[in-house]
Amino acid sequence: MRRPPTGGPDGQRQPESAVRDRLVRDWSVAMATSVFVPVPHEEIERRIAELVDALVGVLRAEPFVPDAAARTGGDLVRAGFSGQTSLSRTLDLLADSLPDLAGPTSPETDARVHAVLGCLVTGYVQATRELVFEQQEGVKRALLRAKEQAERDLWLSEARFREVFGTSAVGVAVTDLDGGFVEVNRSLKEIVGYTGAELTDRRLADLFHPDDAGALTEIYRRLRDGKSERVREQWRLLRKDGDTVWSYLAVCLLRDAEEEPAYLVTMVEDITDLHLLQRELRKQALHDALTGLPNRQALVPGLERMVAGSDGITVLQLDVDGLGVVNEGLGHGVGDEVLRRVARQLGALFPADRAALVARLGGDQFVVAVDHSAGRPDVAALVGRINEELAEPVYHGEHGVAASVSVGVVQRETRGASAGELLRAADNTLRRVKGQGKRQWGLFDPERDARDRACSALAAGMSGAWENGEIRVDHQPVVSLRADGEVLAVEAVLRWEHPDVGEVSHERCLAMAESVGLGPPIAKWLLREAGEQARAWGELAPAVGVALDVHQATDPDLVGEVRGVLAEFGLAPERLRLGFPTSVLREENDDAWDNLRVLTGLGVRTYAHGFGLGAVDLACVEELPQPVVEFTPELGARVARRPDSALARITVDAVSVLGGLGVTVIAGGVESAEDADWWRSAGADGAWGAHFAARGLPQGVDAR
Amino acid sequence: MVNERSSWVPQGVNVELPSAARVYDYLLGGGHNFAADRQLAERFATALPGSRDIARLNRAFLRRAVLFMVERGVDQFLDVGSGIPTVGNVHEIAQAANPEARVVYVDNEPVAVAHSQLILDGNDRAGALQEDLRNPEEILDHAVTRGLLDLDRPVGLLMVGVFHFVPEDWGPRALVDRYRSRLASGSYLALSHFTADSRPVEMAAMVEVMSRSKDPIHPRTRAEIEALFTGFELVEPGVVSTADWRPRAPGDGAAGPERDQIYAGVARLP
Ligand SMILES: C[S@@+](CC[C@H](N)C(=O)[O-])C[C@H]1O[C@@H](n2cnc3c(N)ncnc32)[C@H](O)[C@@H]1O
Repeated sequence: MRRPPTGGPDGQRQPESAVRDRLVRDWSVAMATSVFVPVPHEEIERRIAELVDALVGVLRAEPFVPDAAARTGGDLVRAGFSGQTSLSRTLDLLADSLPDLAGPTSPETDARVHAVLGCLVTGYVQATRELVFEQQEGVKRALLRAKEQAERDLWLSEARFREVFGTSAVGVAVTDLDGGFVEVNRSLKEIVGYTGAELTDRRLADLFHPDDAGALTEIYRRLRDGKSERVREQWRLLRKDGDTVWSYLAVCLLRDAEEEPAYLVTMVEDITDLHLLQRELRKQALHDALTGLPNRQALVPGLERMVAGSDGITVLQLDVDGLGVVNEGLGHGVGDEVLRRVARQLGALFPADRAALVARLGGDQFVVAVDHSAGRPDVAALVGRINEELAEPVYHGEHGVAASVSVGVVQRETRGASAGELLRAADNTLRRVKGQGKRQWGLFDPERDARDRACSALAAGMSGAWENGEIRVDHQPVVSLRADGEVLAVEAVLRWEHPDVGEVSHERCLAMAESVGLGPPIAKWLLREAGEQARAWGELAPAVGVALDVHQATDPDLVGEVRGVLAEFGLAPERLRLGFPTSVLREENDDAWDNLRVLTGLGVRTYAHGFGLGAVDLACVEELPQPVVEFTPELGARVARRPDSALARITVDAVSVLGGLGVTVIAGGVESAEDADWWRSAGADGAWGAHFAARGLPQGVDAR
Repeated sequence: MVNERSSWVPQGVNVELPSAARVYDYLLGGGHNFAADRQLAERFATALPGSRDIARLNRAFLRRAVLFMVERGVDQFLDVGSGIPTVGNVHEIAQAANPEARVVYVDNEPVAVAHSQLILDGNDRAGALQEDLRNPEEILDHAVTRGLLDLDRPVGLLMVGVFHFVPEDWGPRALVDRYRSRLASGSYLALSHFTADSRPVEMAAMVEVMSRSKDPIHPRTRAEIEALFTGFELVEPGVVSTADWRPRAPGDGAAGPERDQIYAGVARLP
């Protein structure tokens, strides 16, 4: 361990000061590189210099007391030089240098150096022990504190948890990774109906509803394997008594201190009530509240499913006959009862499980769809049975109410069919059938349907035709049946010369215009054309008339519009003749009556058109400001051809009554001289129709 | 009967489980450790020769970085991954230079934090909190932080010897960004980080030793470490071996390959 005495090149001993400085320098570097001491290097050197001087002092002291070096060893540690290699490197350096600093070379000096180093080691070891002891104390206190904190946190969170756990309405189950119950709260036991003891013998999976068990097992497996951390979903559990529990399950994985999966916490919220409520709400959204039958929203998807799943289908659309009368006459309570009764009867005839659907479309309309893959039902018998059942009156107070239905039926293969198309066909058929009266039924007629559709196509082309001038205004004379052939007035009518279909009548034009939304502009146009024609013909010509449609007659702007036409063409009011539909007058429509009175007051000539034979029609005659009525053209030829029919006789009576009241009666739709004769003898004052149109307008009254 | 006691509630402190904080303390020559830590530290040191010097050089870099920042006027520090209070703690270094300096220590190891709190008892300019560095907002908005640091002024953010505990899937760069976005201009970041650029075989052995502890280590290349400073401006000499970062004294260096095992850098937020 000892090197030869350090000497210069000349073999002379170096001066002691140089040896000391070098020791301080080398020892400082040795210490700084053996352990981290957080001070500037100069500070390290200052501390080391002190230690060197202290050691030299001990070595040279008289009497020699080596134990004092122990203190220096301790100081070394307390100065921070206690790295793993600090002591060995210190001993190396000191063994080298101290002999040169201890005095003249002698065995006595060597012995002193040995003794000093020994004591230094003792002191170093002692101090290190103390230091480590102190540090261990520190870290143990830290550990204690950390534990206390952790326990306090734990206690707090556990206390909070206990509180929540015990009182929550949410059921909580803590299970181990195999699904064994570790802990459950009261709510959970209540929700699933087991006691804690019973759960001990069971696994979580025993609570899964059989239908959901597969999916739930998979979910728990993923959680357990750490593939997902938490889950919150709606699933079904099974109570001990076998009832289903609808629940929101929130499941999360608890990991232990080593972050390994340890437990699963399952929180169960019982939403069975909520679920039932939801189901009820959904039912309401898809069911008609009055009858409990599926509504239109529910019908369409159901029908689609039936179309997809069968070869053939029968769809019946039913309308309860005369429901409006029941409602008005006996009150809505009775009407509702009738509807419920129809629903019950249909439900009994077509049980839902027997490949049949019954739905209420709203109002008085029902639909029944039957899968007839196995054979077509006998529709006539079916409708017969329905009406038979309904014919039995229900008593309401002293009123017995019997019901009947009219039915439109579609029967077809489902290939290429759609729910929408089937319903439309059934609806069209029903509308056609209803024209024939009550208790009627009819099968869908594809040819007729094609015609109706052609009509729709025709209507669709109307606006283009109007723009192209295909639709024009024609003039029909209204001719006196008394004085010979006098033209009482001229009626402006629409004519559509269709390139493919030929001539389309005024009535059809109006109806089609209405169906495609062109009604109001065309009617306005017709009125203006009439005004312009009246001016063109001059003051001496007969008045020009327009039969207003329902829309115009009730339009609050009508008076303004008529005034505008009069002003534009400088017409005296009586040159214009406006017919009001009897249907709106009959309904006591205030707007129509206001228009009628104001226009009459202005001097415009007015009359009621579309007059029928009902008592109500006759009743409203007395109110007319100008007593002129024009019978509906439907009667025109019909009554004249069957003069012995009841209709003809009633017509004669009506005309004579009207005549007695001083009402001028005009017949419409008169097609032949014979028709004209019949009306004349019935007492009508004037007439118009194909018969007179063919004769043309009188002299001076030519088309522009 | 189903258990009434919550045996499943995770336990907080476990001395059987070695912690990186105490292994580091042991390698630094400290006695704040337990048998399990010392065993792991010995295996660590066997796998990676020079481990004690690596620890010393890292700790010395921390000191120089703090002094560097103090010299540039920084008087508040956030030390994330601060470890066990041992020789040369940040508050001691900073407060020796500027008694007004404030320091917040953050570590996720409960004993290290408790220890720091014990040491700091009575020091109203320094505090310690337990939080994972993954949660910058929790740290920056923590009551202790808010009580001591003024984030509107420059802060010295220290992440020394800690980012190699951050695996790639935590998004280390985005993490630094979340700290950076909350710092005032003129703030500094000091960061040191294990690398396998040198002695890859020994590093692999050490990584293997740590992979079974609760603090696995993820060494990164110099370029990856430089990328962690994105948004900051590195000061001279950039990202270098700890021994080469502005050495001042013999104790700042070492002769062997251990000097190149950790890269370090300091950067300023413009
Ligand atoms: C090697 S020590 C560094 C101590 C000190 N910064 C130094 O460089 O001298 C690393 C410290 O980071 C802590 N640490 C590791 N992962 C952490 C994390 N995710 N969040 C907070 N601290 C973490 C450890 O507990 C340990 O105390």
